Amino acid sequence: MAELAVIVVVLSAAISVAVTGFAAAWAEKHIGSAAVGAMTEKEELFGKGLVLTVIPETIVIFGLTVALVLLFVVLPQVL
Amino acid sequence: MDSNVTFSNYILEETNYSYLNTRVRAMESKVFKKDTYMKLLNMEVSQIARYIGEYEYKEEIDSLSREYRGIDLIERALNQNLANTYNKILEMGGKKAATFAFAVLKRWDIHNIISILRGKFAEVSPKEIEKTLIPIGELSFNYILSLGNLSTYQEVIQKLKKLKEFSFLDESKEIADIESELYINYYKNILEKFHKNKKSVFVNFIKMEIDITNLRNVMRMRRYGFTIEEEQKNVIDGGLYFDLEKLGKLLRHSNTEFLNEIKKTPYGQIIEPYVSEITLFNVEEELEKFLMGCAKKQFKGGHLTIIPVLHYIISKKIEVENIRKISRGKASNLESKIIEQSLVI
Repeated sequence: MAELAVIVVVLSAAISVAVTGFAAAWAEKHIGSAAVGAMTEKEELFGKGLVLTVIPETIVIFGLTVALVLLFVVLPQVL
Repeated sequence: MDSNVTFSNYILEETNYSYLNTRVRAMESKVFKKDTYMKLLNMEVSQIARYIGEYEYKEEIDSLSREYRGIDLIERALNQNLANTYNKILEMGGKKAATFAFAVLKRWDIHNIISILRGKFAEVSPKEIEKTLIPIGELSFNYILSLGNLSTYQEVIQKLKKLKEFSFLDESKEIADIESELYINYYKNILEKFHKNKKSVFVNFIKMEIDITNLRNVMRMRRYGFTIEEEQKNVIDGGLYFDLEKLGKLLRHSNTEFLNEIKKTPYGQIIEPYVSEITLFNVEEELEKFLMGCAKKQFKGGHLTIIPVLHYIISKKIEVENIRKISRGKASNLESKIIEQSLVI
């Protein structure tokens, strides 16, 4: 039973990082293309475009935090 | 940039709407606003040329100013800028955007062909005809120019007939009938092409355009008389509010019935104030303004669709038409108030 719980916790940690990684990539793809499109016409938008492009990175940080909590808080309790 | 537009000239990759729409929105932010038109209304033709030459029309004004002056310079620069802008959209648009953009741009082929036919009919020189042509459309501009160099309009049609899409033309017909056929065929093809998207705003816009073309023809026929044959030639099937049967009734209604019927549609409020006017000039212009206004309102939202591109195409067309109206009005010494009324703002 404990083995199954370990597998679930570890898998959950992996999924939280993987899914948020994909989500951030998808969001950055769109925001990045949009930013490049806007910058092509208005160069002065470079700063704003750059900031907006990196905002989806926060999604990965959430995923990473969840994974760390699972691995370092939840997992020791299961073991 | 080569202004000869054909499908094969472009590397048509998949459409990246995020990139396309944001770029198009950035381009749209440079379209002239109401206060700019008010400034232009207080300028002379040469000042208008100088003013627009400081903004988005700089490239065209600079390159054409050695050859042309005054109203000719503005007209040429506007046409060239419109062509360059539409070409730019096609280049960056990708497959899906190009399908819609070409459907809209195809009308410039019709515009150019009709200008050539009218010019040939009135025996105007190729040089003069060329001034009215706009280097946009699906046909290559060199081909359009070669049509302008032919001697008669019958020869133009004979050459056009060799193309599959214009094989329906008949040089023995009158020029007015040929014009109607060109428009009827254009709308028929476009509705067939987008028959799967019956409820899309783009198809709605095209249908509204058909309605307005039909209403214009119906009002002309009501005023100047018509035969059954003329009725068939001048009405287009596929409108948003009026099908062929309704149009037939509109033609034969009394003035009151006609107005009551029209009032059931959004066109009623546009047509009503002008019903008793002697000429149809004002009502036709108001209908055109209404159509452009509706298009701008309809083509909103849809961030990951073609809608923002269509909105920009319409906005750019309105801008060019407004500048054209102002400069022509100024060249003909029209009062600013009259010019202002004709603008779509």
